[in-house]
Amino acid sequence: MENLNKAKNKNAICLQICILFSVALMVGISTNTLRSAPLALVQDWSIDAQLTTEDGHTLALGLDQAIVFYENNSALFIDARDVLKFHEGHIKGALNLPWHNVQEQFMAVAPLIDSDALLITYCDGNTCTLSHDLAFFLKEMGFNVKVMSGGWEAWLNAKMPVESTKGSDENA
Amino acid sequence: MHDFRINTMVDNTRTQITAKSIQAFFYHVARWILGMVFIYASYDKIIHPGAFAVMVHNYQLLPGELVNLTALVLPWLELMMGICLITGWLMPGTIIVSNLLLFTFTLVLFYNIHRGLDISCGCFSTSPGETPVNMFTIARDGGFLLLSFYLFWFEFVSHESSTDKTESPRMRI
Repeated sequence: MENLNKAKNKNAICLQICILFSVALMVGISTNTLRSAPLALVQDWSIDAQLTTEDGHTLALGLDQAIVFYENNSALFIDARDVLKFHEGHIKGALNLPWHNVQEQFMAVAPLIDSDALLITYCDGNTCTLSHDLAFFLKEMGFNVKVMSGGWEAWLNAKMPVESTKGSDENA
Repeated sequence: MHDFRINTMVDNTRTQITAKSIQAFFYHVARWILGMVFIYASYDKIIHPGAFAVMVHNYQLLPGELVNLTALVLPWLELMMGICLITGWLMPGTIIVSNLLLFTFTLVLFYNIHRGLDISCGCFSTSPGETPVNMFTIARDGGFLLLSFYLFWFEFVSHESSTDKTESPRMRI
């Protein structure tokens, strides 16, 4: 070990790097197998798989379906993005429950939510997962929740009603 | 005249030794700080691999097949590097991996801010409520990267340019 420590030639350095990665790989995988609930080495990370609950139901909701719920006024939209983005623009009538402050903000927003209403969470777009996390949180709290596919980006592209903090209706 | 030359040589030698001692001192401080940072960063991720896997996936840079493997191995690599930096084991290799990792982390954070991805850093905590990635996160990682660059410079550049190549500067403190 001491010789390796002093070695400066390429082979010795490559060997050191290999040792670091090999030990990390072996320890990481072997300790995982010893866990009571080991993490699968390969997992399905598709959106559908992520939004499927343990009982096999999916929380995913297509944009078209979300629009139908919106037009029938039969769902409450919850914006999972941060306050600044919400103020810049959001779905008309949506509430803001930023995922990053969900513990603090939930008590303030909860009284505004009808416990029987369908909640539809959304965030920036397909690359955003805040709405997924928020949906599972709200589901744990006992609400009926769905996640709108495509999020804010898809809503804007569909030219559906939006508003900013000023309350001005931009696309209605 | 003869005495003056000797005195000048002695003074120059003293100045060089002092400068190298200061460099060596900062080298040790830098590797201890970085070592503790890596160990601290690994702790929560080792305990909660599932939560860390979600964060790795949220970055949306790795194919799904590599997400869990990365979440299982990366924290242990950080722990190994932390131990090596503090103890001085496997130093040249550890410094290279440290530079590569921190450079990659900083680049990934910058890229995610650039594309507007609102996600938690996952740098030190797997808590979902962690502060999202912002410029402070990048500045913090940039600071760690500078420390790592210094270790690289001291280990490879400074030592190579030293007149006395038989003695490792690391041992001079």
